[in-house]
Amino acid sequence: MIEVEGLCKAYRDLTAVDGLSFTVGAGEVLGLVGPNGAGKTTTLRCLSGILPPGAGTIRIAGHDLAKEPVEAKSALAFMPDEPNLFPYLTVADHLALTARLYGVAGAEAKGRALLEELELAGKEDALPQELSRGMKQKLVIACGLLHDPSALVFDEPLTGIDPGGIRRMKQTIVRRAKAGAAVVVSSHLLPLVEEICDRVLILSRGRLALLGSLDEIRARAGEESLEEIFLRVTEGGAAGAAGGSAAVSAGGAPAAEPSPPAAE
Amino acid sequence: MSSSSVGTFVFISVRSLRNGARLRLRRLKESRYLVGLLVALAYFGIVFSPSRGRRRAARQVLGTLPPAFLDVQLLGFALFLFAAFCLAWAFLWRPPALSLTEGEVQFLFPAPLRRRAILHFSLLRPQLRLLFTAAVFTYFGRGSRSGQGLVFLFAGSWIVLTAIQFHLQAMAFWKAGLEERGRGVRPAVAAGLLLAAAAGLGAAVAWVWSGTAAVSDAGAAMTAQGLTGTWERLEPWRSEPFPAILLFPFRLLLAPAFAHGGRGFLLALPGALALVALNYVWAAAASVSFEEATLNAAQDRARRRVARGAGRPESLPSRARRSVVPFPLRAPGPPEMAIVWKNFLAAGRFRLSSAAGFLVLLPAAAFAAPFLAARGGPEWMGAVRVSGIVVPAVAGMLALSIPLGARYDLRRDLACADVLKLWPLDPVRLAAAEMAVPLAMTLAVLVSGLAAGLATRAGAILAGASRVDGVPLPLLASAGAAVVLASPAFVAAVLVLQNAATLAFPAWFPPGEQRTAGLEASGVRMLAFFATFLALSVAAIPALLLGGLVVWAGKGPLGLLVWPVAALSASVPVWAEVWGGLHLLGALFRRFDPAVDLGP
Repeated sequence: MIEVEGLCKAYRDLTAVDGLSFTVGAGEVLGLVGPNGAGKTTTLRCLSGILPPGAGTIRIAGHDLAKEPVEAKSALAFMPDEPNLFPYLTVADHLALTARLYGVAGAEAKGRALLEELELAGKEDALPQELSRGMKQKLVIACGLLHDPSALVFDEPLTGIDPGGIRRMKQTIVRRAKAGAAVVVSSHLLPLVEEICDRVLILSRGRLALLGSLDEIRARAGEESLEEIFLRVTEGGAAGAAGGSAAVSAGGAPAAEPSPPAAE
Repeated sequence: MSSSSVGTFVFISVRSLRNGARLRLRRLKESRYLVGLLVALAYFGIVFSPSRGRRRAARQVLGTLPPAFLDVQLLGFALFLFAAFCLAWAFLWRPPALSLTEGEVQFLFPAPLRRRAILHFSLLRPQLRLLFTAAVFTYFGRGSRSGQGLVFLFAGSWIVLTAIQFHLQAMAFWKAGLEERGRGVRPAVAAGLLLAAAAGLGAAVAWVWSGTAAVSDAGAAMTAQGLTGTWERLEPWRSEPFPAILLFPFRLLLAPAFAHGGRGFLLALPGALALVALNYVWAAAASVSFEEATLNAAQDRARRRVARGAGRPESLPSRARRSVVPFPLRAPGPPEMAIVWKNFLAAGRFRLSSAAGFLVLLPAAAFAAPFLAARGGPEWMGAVRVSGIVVPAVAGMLALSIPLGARYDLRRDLACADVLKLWPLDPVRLAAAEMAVPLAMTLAVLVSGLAAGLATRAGAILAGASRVDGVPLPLLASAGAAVVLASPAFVAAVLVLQNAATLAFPAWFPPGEQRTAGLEASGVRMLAFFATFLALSVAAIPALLLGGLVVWAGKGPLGLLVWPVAALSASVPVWAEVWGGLHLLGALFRRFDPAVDLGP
């Protein structure tokens, strides 16, 4: 389970994330969407402990990320949009390193299965500079999934992956959620969000603009397409779309009261 | 070349130069580079400008050198160029690539330009770089020259460098053209070139050999008059066919740089420039296909530049070596070992057991060497004794440089701070694990080198080949033990300081392997070195006080043991500082914000 409460993050004069609160339950996939510069990546990096939040609390699997970082991070996997790998380690070395860092039992068998699942089998001896961007992305995901995390955070997971890989990646995300993981997926691909996410959080200028299940959002907005809702919310029409209240509580998860978006 | 081609190439050259200069100037807006530039200028000013008195003294010595000295230099350089020429023709088989960047290839090759125009551009473009190199040569090779002598040296150096550039390019084209003349041509020509080069080098060696005999007969003297007299008496040797014929073009090329006065320079200039022009015409007249080789070379250069910038090895390890790891890493166990394992891999693909074997073998070989040398006579024993001093000295120097240069720790890894921050590991433990590899490498080199020195000494005594004078072995052993016991704490302190500098001031001491070039960047690195030295000196004060106290109190009762005991005592406060430093590193790592501290 991922719990975020009052998250704020600012860079000098720029407020990237402002009072964001949401919860992702076990077995749930939350889609995080927003225009460029809305604060999605900053939110995810705070969630994963890369960036220290300016204010607010984040709990991963019941552990406060600020007070019990080791326990919280043990339950977490973050897959960034830009795969960052060690240039001198092979694919197999990356898995061995991750296995030791997280103390994964039966790491070799799990690693083999993951490489098979992500179509990296046979690439064990390859160095990152010999892999395509999509393959690097898959390796990062393999390392992330190796320790069976109960909280998964994906930032643009489909970037650079071929159509076959995209299908398998979607299946992997859904399968992990069904196995009980809390999953956050940030993406600009709204059809992906509609397809695999249980709930959607629309972020605009660092603030929560809309949160709820797809059906709830559609019902409140009076729109069928997530794209239309997204555009109206992020380009100034959210009030109209959401009937004056941007937040929608769903799935028993508490939704923060966002600031009302500007009226059309 | 048409006027539009010339315009295009002038535009590219001028804009590249202007933008490069602007970039450098803009960099000076960052305080670290401005301060770095000032530090570097001050440093080089002190190092390379002798004091007035010293400069006058140098002039007095060098000013007495006769004109024959320039002739000796000319002959020496001509011989060197001849040897390089033979080796290049025999062994250098480069693809016929032009010196163009990827961008230039992308824009110029599809443009409506004649390929010969591109060839002219490629040949002429490195001129600015060559002028700069000639200036550097002039500065370092100026000796006692001044005024017009410096101008001759500068112009002469530029002529030589330009001729070499044109010649190498023409040679690459000519050799590539052999492929187009049919199968079997190239191997036959290569064999012929090899034979010709061997014959040329053989002739050079024979001539030099006869010269040494002639010099001893002529009675060489290293005074001004002696040198002139010897030079004159060597006239028959200097007029032999080898220098007269085979060295002629090289002497012709070098003549302006070593001209005696203005008239000599003007007389030497036409011949040298004619050689330059001949090589240019030869290169520019080539009709060989250079496009594919140029593209490949440009891509290769760009790849290597990116790899260097990202701290990646420029050449990948072979498939067989990729399975080589320092030690097997199993999943259960302390996670810190994963970081140590990873950093050993960053240092290279080797097994720790093999490295340890080598480090043990070195002292063992050093111990055995005197026994073998005793049979060879006093010269061999002398050589072994010298190596017994040189090896620990080199080990000591390496021990000083490894903590600064081998950045297999947070200094390198912070470039991947995003990944490090994800790991479920306490930052203090992470910092300690990160520094383990450079610490282990430094200590291994130091201990092995010192042990080799002591083993040589012990072997020499036991071999009984001759009396062993100098510092007694027990005292050496005591001092060696003291160094070994004290060094872990001090090396760890240096590593803490270096890592803390990167964590606290990433803008000044950037993480990763990227190295910024230029005088200002060198100044920043010097500053980092001085800051470390200063901080370490302050940190060492309690250690020196405690160690001194132990020596004062324990010298009588402990005898030679006092030195190791004092070293151990002295390291206690340093270890305490390291412990505090690690906690500081942990706190700094927690505060480290990749989005802000690593820049865009």
